[in-house]
Amino acid sequence: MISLNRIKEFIKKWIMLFGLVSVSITVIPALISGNWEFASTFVQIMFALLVICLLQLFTDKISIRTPILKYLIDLGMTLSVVSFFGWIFKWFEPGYVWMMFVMVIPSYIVGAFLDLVKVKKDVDFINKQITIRRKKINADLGKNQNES
Amino acid sequence: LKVIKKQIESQSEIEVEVRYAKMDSTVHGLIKRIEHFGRSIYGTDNGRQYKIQVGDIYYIESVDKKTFIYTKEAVFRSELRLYQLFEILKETDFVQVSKFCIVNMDVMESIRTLPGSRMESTLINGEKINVSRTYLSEIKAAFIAKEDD
Repeated sequence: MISLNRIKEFIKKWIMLFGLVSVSITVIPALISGNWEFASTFVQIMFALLVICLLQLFTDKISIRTPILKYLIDLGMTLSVVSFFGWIFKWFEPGYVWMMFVMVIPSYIVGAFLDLVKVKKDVDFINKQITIRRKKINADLGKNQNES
Repeated sequence: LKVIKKQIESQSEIEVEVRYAKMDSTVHGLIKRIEHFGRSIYGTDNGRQYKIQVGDIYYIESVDKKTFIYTKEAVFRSELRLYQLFEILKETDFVQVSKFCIVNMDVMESIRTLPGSRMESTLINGEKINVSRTYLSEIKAAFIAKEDD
């Protein structure tokens, strides 16, 4: 039976490989030939993602008391970055700006869902560790009581 | 575990010697507990200063830039800021669970998610404290680090 962890690792590896190969087959030929026509979109997306990740690092550090608000801030921030880069690099045709929401919101929902799954997994792990720790403490206390 | 007690009147402080055949997690954990024993911080209550044993502290909370130390039955005020106390308690079994709170891992009973993606931890005295998702990975890392102790 393949564990969920192994499936997760496999998917992570697959997507990372896809990212690396995509960059290699677009950026490297562009660097060599000097023709950035095909690679420029990839570079633009990479740059936009870099900005989103950096901003998320910042929102992760600031303590927002209600996580729903954090999700909304993150989503708003992602939409702002995508619309800003879209405007600069002309990703959207005039009249098709709604496409940005169609692209960003489903991706964000999938990301948020994966995040929730991770939180649940972390909570389960911590609870398991707490139980082990409490058992140890109780055993030590029992031992000490017997000795005295 | 064999405990040998020896009274030496000229002895100025308690001295503990641990003899072992092989350093393992039990011996390591025991040494760490002895090292942390007697570590204390100061807190005030009604203008009087008290020495609080680190092991007696349940959690420390910062409210409106004031720091409060909670033990099983009492609450003390500390002049130190939360981050300063956390620095002092770094080598002990305390973990930061939110920007405003650090908790003794020994008194944590469980942790759970609440509707609206909030989280809380229940302590062994039934008290519930807020846990921030931002600190979840640090809590996990703290338990992993202490696993071998």
